[in-house]
Amino acid sequence: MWKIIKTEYYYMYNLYGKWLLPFLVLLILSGKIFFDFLFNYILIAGAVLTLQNDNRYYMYQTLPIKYVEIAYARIIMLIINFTVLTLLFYIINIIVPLIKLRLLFLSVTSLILIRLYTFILFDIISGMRNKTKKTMYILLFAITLAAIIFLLFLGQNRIQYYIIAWIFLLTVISIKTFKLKEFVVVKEQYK
Amino acid sequence: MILNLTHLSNISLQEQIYQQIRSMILSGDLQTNSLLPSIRKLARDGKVSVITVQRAYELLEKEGLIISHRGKGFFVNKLDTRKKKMLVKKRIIEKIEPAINTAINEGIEKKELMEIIKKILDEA
Amino acid sequence: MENSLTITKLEKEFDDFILGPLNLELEQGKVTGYIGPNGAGKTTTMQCIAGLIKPDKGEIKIFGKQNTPNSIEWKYNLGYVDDKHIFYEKWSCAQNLKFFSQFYPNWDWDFANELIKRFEISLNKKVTQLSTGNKVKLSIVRALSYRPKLLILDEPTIGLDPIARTELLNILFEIIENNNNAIFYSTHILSDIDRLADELIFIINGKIKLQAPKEDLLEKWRTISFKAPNNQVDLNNEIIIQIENNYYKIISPDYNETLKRLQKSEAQNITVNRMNIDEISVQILKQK
Repeated sequence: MWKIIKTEYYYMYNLYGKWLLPFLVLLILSGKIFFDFLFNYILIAGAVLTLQNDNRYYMYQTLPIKYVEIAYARIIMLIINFTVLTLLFYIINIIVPLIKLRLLFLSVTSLILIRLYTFILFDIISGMRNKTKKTMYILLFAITLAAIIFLLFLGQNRIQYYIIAWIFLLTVISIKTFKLKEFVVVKEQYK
Repeated sequence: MILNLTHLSNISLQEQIYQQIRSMILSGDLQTNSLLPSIRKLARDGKVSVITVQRAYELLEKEGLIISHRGKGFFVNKLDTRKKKMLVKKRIIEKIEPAINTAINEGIEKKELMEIIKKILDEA
Repeated sequence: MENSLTITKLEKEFDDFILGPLNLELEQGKVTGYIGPNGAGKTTTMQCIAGLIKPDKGEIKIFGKQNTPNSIEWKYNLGYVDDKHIFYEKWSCAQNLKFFSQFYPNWDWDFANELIKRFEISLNKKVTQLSTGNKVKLSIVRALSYRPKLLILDEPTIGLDPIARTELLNILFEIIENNNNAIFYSTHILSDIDRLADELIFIINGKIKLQAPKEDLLEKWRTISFKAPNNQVDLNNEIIIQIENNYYKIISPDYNETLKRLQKSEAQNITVNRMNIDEISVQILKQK
């Protein structure tokens, strides 16, 4: 199980690693308001990162590894990502008010973010073979994003953002747990 | 052992293996008591299935051309001249019979047929 | 010797297709061809064997061990190749193989490197840069490198150029030299399997039609043409291909049997011709 987790993170690092540090720096520099908005956006990205490429999940099943361990690996990664990101942003949140001249970096940051997010989404969704599942996930992200933007205009209450993000996390986990009972990854549909 | 096998022939692969090994034995290329390749080795080298070689070896064994010793493999059987002649004769009959049948079907008479054979022998 | 594969009462139901009940036994040391049209259930069977699909009913044992999802020993002896070729796309072939090797205690790098050389795989190329043919080759290396005793190959030559295909078959011929190995090979391209297979299993509409030694089929099936005097023919399970006046052309699944009856009914001008596995398979799969 840890072999899979280790390799997945190493692979993600290979893919996205060089973006991470410059992005974080820019994030800090871009300012508190934008930062709040981005915070939840990235939490979702972190969750999405964990959902992985379905194809690879299928491939793990061909390996001599207990299916239960594969399922647990995914859930553990989900929790790790969320926790690390939440902690990270909590820390950054303390640093942000100390920086001046934020607006300059605002646009650059958002550009990088959109590109990063597209990368991630593409990797995940390209691996999905079930059309219904694809649509479901895209819808889920869209709804959560809309909810966050909505709350953003209602007030700057960070607790609310945390709540939404964690509701999202729990939804995803319950879908995955439900899947634990059956280890069918791809239900082949015959025409 | 080098066999020349083709599946572009009317003769099955099994039959080809059987015939080629039989030739080698009857002509003396494979001497008495020499060890034949194992079924699996021949399958691998000849790029045919194990069962094909197996059946060919079974045929050879039935004819008394080879003999199997448990745990050791297949060996060329000792054939006395009489037995050898019998096998060669059998092969000739296999080859001549279809020709004779064609001849009869297409209206060649016995006498004409004998003359043809005599002519061929004279020329040989 | 225990069977390399034993399938008992396997059943799997989909929305518009039912596989099984299926019973199957493969001995060690045999190559078995799994033949059937598209949609017959070949891939489903193999996915059930590899543990990628959970059957509704039935049991599958690999060298006596049941293929339960949470046990792993049975996988050390199972090599599986299908048409999916899933890897870490942005990593090189070498990195991918290194990843896989971690999971198999019996991984043989010498053998892996030999296969890489024979297939001419560029180890440093990223998987996204590979052509389909090369991805197939990589999948084969991934499946063979730990020398599994049972190889499940689901149409492995699709996408392979003739040279690579020949190379794969060469490798398979070498594998059969060991009498503990078994190969279960599904295809609808019969020229792949007609020399390699010892036994053939025919599947259609989710059910096994026939399981027979290849040589038996080749020995028994013939096309026969003859002239029937008085147009009297005594035919049983033969298939009539052509009739013109008194001339018949038929296919017989047991020509000795047929010839006996033809001789009794005094048929004339009898010619008998062999059939190849392709032709025989078509007839078997056509039967009701």
